[in-house]
Amino acid sequence: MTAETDRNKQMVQTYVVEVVNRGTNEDGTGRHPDSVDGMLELFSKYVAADAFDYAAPEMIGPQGAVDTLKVMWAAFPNSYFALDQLPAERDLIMIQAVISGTNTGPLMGFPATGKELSLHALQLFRVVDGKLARHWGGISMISFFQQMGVYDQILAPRIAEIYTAMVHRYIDGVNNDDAAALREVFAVDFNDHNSAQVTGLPPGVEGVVTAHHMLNESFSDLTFTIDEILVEGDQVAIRVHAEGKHTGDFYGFPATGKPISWTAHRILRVKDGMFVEAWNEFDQVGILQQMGVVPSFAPPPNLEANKALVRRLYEEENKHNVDIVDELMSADFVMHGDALNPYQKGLEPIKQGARMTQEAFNDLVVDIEDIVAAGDKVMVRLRWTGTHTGPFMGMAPTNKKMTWTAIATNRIENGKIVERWFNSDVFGLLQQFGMIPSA
Amino acid sequence: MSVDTAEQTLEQNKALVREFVERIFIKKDLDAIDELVTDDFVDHVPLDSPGGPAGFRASMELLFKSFPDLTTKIEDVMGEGNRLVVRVAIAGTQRGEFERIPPTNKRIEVFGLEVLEVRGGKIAERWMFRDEMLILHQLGMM
Repeated sequence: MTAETDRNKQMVQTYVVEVVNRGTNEDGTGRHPDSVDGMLELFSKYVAADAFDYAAPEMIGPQGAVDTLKVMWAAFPNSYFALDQLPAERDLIMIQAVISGTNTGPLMGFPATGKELSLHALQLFRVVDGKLARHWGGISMISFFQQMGVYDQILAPRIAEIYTAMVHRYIDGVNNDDAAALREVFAVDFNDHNSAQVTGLPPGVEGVVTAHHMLNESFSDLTFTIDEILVEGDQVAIRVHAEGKHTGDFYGFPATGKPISWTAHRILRVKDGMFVEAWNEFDQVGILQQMGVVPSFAPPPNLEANKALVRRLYEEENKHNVDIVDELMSADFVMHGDALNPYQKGLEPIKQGARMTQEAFNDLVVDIEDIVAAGDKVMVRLRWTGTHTGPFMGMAPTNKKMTWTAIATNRIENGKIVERWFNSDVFGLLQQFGMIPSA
Repeated sequence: MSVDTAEQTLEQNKALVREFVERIFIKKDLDAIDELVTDDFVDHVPLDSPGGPAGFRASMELLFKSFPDLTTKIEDVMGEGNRLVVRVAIAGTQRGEFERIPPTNKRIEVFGLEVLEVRGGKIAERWMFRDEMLILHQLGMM
């Protein structure tokens, strides 16, 4: 070893003891005060003005070294750099050391963890004119993040993005009947835990390809839409819905030409960037019900309750209790009316119409002359009778007794009227007003 | 030990660590591991793994699976006595899982350091540095 190499070695040793360790002994004694005053001057004795670090993030010159160590000291005030070996040759010196310290301050946006860290450090320096001029090396940052307990936290959002992109590749592949796309994201030995849902499927990714190809043959214009993606660890949970037209055999049932939609859930597990297994549930029976080959499991409609509901509505109307509609009709009520009662949504127009008619005919009474119920619908034949005492349809009061009829279909859902179709004898009413000549 | 003998030993050791990097990292000849490392070989970074030649082979297989097109270039070899340093440039595309990161198909290009202790004409200990901060950036993780 040349005398110069030996001098370089001594300089590096002094640098580590006096600057990096601030004079601290391994037992924590003898440390310089934490003051940063004069630190730049101290560093400048050892670090060349144009010193350059090849590792990210680049640090340049004594100021770069000061900034880097200040960050470390703030996070690890008791950090200690235990020198191990210093192999040196020519103008190069390798510092092998073990860095240890307790994380009691925030670092890179992470709050203090209280963790005690210990990491190998490899620092290769080139010395020029007695000062540190070039640097390669450092610690394993992945081990550092792991010891801090933040590595998974750093990766999680990025991994979720990667897995989400895989789900989109998968569903796009299904929608385009693109086997190559499916083979990109499903492992060759993919395990479908619900493969028995379709008989005769080949194992692995080819089972996925075949199953979706079969679905595309059963349903034309089949489109899956992603409704939800949840990623945690190696699990990817998705919720989708599908829409298509039944134009081919499905479970042995021939094409019905009906539009069919269904919902599905799937939990997939990822390993080494591929879906390796999955559990699947989809609304098979719902599909068969929409095809009309399996009966509905919905409870039979309560026809008497539905009729009672409609009767009560008109009884209360006769008591001029207009606000009863809030109780008996849905806020989402839709009216498919006629010239007298056009298409309306919500309950306000219904209430307004009732009040207006009651003001025009102050003794108005409505009678149910017939009532017919089936399924979720109740049809009623109605007759209104009253004396024309207020303005109505632009006509001044005539004080004439008038009567008119109507037939209405009411649809009932969850005990409320949600929809109504309506035809009334407006023509006859206009004749009574003399607006249209009588036959 | 005379100066001449020390120089000879250093040159022999440099030839050995060059062969170590060339055969295992560059030519990816993992069978060379048994030939070039001691039975009690210790890989210190990151885990002080006492896995011996088999453990080292497994970790190299994993690395080549993560980066099948990995290239390694020797930039410099230096050392003193039996402690040798090889500065390398490594590059590759991440096609397999790497340190819990699923395949990103992104390319890394970083420098690395191999620090090797020679005993009885074989590699007995290994320390390694690679610029993992830059790797995490290049893989889009940070």
